[in-house]
Formats: sequence, C-alpha cells, structure tokens
Amino acid sequence: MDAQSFSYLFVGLSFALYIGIAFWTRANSTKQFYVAGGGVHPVLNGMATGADWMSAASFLSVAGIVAFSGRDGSVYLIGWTGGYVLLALLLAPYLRKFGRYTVPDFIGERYYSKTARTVAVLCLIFISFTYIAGQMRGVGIVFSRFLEVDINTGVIIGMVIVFFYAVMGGMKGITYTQVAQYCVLVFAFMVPAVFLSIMWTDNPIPQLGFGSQLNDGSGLTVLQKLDQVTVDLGFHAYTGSIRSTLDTLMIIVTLMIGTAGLPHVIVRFFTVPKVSDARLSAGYALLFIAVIYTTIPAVAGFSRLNLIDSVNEVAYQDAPEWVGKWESTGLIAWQDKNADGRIQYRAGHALVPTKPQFTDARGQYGQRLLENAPSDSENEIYVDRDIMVIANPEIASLPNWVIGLIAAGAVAAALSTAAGLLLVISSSISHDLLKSTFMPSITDEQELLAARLAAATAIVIAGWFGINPPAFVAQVVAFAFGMAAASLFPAIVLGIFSERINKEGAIAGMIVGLFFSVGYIVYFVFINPHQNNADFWFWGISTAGIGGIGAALNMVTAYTVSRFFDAPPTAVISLLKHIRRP
Amino acid sequence: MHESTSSKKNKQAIADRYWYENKKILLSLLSLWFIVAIVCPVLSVDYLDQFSLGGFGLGFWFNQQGAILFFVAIIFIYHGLMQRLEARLSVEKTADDSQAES
Repeated sequence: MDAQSFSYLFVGLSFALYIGIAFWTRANSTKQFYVAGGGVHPVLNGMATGADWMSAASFLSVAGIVAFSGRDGSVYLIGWTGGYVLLALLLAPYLRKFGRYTVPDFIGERYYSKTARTVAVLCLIFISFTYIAGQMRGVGIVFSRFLEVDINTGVIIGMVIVFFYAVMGGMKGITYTQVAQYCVLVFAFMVPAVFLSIMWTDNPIPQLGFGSQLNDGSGLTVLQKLDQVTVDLGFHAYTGSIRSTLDTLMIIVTLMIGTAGLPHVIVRFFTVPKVSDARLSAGYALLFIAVIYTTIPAVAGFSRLNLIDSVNEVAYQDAPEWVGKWESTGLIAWQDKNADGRIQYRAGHALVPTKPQFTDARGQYGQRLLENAPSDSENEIYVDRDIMVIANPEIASLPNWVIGLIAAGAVAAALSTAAGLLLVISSSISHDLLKSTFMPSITDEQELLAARLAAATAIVIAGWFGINPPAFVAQVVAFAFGMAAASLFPAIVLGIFSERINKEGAIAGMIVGLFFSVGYIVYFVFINPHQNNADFWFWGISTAGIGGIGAALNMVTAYTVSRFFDAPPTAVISLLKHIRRP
Repeated sequence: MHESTSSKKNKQAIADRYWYENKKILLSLLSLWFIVAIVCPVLSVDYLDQFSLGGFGLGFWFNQQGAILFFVAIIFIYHGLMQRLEARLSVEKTADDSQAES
C-alpha cells in the first residue's frame, strides 16, 4: 500500500473511533455537558489535557522551530510546560474546590459582579477564537498535505467530526475522544523519533540518543556535531543563543502564565472528582505532555543533521526523492545561485521575498523555477520549518504506514484542541451570559439546548475562519498567550490568594492588562510593522514576551484600585475560606 | 453548646493551619520552579554549560530536557506533600474530636 492509502486508512479509522465515542458518551445534563459530570479519572483527565493542550502547532511546528533555532527554540519547550506548575499549584485545586462549570463563573462569584463576569467572558471568547482559527486551518492543511484534498474540504470534514462529538457529548464526549486522540498522537510522534534516534546513535530512546555519541565512528556527540556543522555553514552554534536574555526571560514568563490562564486548559480540572485529584491530574497531564516535549528537541536535532547531511553540497539530481516531492508541494525550493548544480545550504534567507513563488517552468536539472529574486546570502535552499516532522519518515526511509500514522496524529492534535476551545466558548455563552447574567429563569434542559446551539454556531464561525483565515492568524499566536497572561491569570490568582481585592480592582486590572498587551502587539504587528525589532521594542521585549508585563500591570492596578474601594462582602470572604479548606 | 463552639473553633484553627502550611509548601516549590525554569536555563546557562551531563552541556540540558523533567517532579511532589498534610491534619482533627467527646 502507498503512503496515501495508509493515511486514508488511519485517519478514517481514527474518525470512526471518535464518532463511536460520541454516540457512547451523549450528555444528558448541563453538568455532563460542561464538566463531564465531574467524574473523570485523574489519569484519563491528564491524557485528555495533554491532547487538549497539544495543538497542530505543537505536533508539526515546534520541532521545526527548535531545529532551526537551536537553544533559542527552548523558550517554547520551557514556557509551555512550566505553566502547568503554576496551574497545579496556584489554580487547579482551588477552582476544583469552588466546584462550578466555567472560568467566568469563578470570576463572577469571587468579584460579586456581573460586569466582572462579562469582562471575563469577553476575554475568554477573544482568546479562544484567536486560537481556534489557527486550529481549523491546521486541520485543513494536514488534510491537503496528506490526503491531497482541497484545504477548504479538509476544514469542512474537520468541522463535521468535531460537530458530532462536541455538540452531542459536550465535555463528556470531548474528554473521551481526547483520551483516544492523545494515544494516537503520542504513538504517531514517538515511532519516527525512535527510528531517527537509532539511525544516528543506535540508542532507541530519543531523549538519551540526543545526548549520546554518533554511530558514525567520528567520536563526536550529537550536539558537538550539530554545533560544528551549524557554525561551519555560517549559522550560530546550535547550543548557543542570539536572543537577548531579558527577551528570552519575558517570553518564557508570558508563555508560562499564558498557558496557566488558557480557559480550555483550566476547565479540564473542573472535571475530576476531588480537589486532590486536580493536583494529581495536573501532574499526569504534564507527564503525558513531557513525553512529547522532551522528544521534540531530539527530533529537532536529528532532523537538522539529516537535512544538512542529505542536501548540503549534494547535486540536485542526486538529492533524495523526498526533496523533489516536497518541492512539488512548495515546502522546499532551490535556486542555483552559483550555477554549479549543487545545493548549498547556508545561513540566511535564500530568497527575496522569503516565501517561494514558483513559475510553471522547470530548470535544467528539473528543479522548479522561481519568480523570487536571489538574496545576498549564499544559501540556495528554502525549507519550510513544518517539514521537519512531516518529512521525517521519508528522510529516515521508514515504512509507508508511519506516514499514515503521522497524518492521523496531526489531525488528532488539531481536532482535540479545536474541540476543547469550542466547548469553553459554548459554555461561556450558555452558562455565563444566558443562565447567569441575562436569562436566569431558563431550565436545565433549555440551558443544555442553548449550549448545544452555541457550540454548533461556534463551529460554523471557527470553520469560516479556517476557510477565510484572517491575515493576522499566523503572526499573532502571541495574541492568545499575551491576552490570557494579562487578563485571566492575574484575576484568578489574586482572587484566590488575596482577600482584599474587590470587584473594582479586578475589573480595572483585567482591562489595563488586556489593553496594554493587545495595544503593544497591535502597534508592532499592524500599525508599525517595520519597527517590529529590538531597537524599537520597549526594553527590547518582543511582542511574544509582552504579556508578562501586562500581567504585572494587571496585578499592580488591581491592588492599587482595590485600596480605594470597600473590601469584598462577607459572603465572598466565606467563599474564599471554603475554597482554601482541604 | 460549649462543645460545639469549641469544635467549631478547632475546625477554624485546622483550616488556618492548613492554609499556612500550604502557603509554605507553595513558596518553597515555586522557588524551585523559578530556579529550574529561569535561573538554570536562562540566567546562568553559560556558567552551567561548563559542566556536562552525558553528551549535554548542563545549561543546554536544562533548556531542552531538564526544566521539563523538574516541572513534572514538582507537581507530583506538591501532590504528595499535600496528601501528607491533609492526612496529618485529619488525624489531629479526629484526635481533637475524640478529646472533645470524652
């Protein structure tokens, strides 16, 4: 069987599984719809959180980012995992003890204010839609690459599948499909990683192989070799860094508190039976995530070696088959600047503009010709960073079924995250806006119907974003994290640990934090993109790292404003006493 | 009447104690978190890179593996410490209750 048939087979089987789970886990009450009845085993919740959290980007792009930036790529590894410590220590147990359904629920009750609840709902919807647009697009892209269907058809297929289990099963359906999706994606990610590790070091465990000697008899370790070849080709050393320390630090901080403030992750801890299960479950979630996140740098290192080894100074005609295959999909492009027929891989962008624009013609070696002008650098090859994971099986000459596996894994990663986000959007609308704010008289059945309708509407909007992606989606992943870091996280943590913060303080804090971070990102990404570099940034902090400053401003504002208004009422103080008790 | 106020007082004392101990645990684990997330991989990475762990420079190892492994450990340690704290306080609580009854 060829790779494409395997892709159809595995993706089809996984879809059948998800739909089967959807029928098995129909939700009958709002409690089941919002928090899966509150009875999910901590280990299963950990797996579901892992799948919920790991998006198409984690699965496909992070290894590529690390492969091309070496140590500087570590901010994503540290930032996206370190947030779970904050989540487990500062948020999850108390929110579980609080025992309601949504994040705005907590903010509304703790700050005894419908305004605070509504501000939280708006932050949540803004964060979730920014994030979800990228996911639906991701589903479409995966479909188009592996199954050779149109991107838009891929988005629609993804919408239908998510519709089935999210609308029917709510959180209950999502939880059990996410457990299945975690299993699919971890298997799909590990198999090629193990093969790669054996190929370079004979060690089957990628995490250890990454720190071992190469098996080529050179006596060098993997990292020594990486440093050597990257420096030889004019890149910075793989284990070195070119980002400023302060910027690195702020990006890590922003990603960590942003992760801890993401509503679709927080809400997963409402589904376990007990407070202690919330802590344990966060531990399992991070353990399951760590399996993949410690493999990512190994995959990154091996694939960078592979790339250099198999293309640099190789005549185009002798290049491995996958080079031509990915060139035909536009993920690789080659421009023979010095007319020697060989591929030179060097530091710097190969093309101006950097993304390849192909003509229909072929060159003398059969390469696709480009409209792009050559750049100043000697680099002749453009490589899309996503290729690192997708092309691994071919680079390592793995059997075709591994490619099918990766397709199923990437689709699982994108769908699970999209479903988790859809659920928090729908529950914030049906529960926080309708039931708690505008139409308190509706019954449980009516609320459940509203939740389903909201989920269905959100899927349609998300699909629309997937088919007509706003131009900014790719540039502003920073948005979702900056907003979560600057708005929700400080409001929740202060709400738990301070008795003095009142509604005036919390609302002012959320608004200041949000406007500061969003304003900073909008200024540099849309209004003045040509100034988007370290010379103009505030203290040299990039847009990805500004959420941390926004969070600090939020806290300072909340404290200061709270001083000028009355302390929270006694009902809130006893709520606090309640959530702080074991 | 007298008994119920004293047991209520006791309950409050246990809750306060629990919250105080919890904050102590949080503070020490968050310090550890700060060290493995910020100090080792970012602030003192060059210093740590002088030492090696297997084929890794120690600073680089913290960047790409170590921090993550420590994070997992921190959460499980937190879970363990809180379980122990809860067990200890509930033992004290039952001891107090039986005293009050007798």
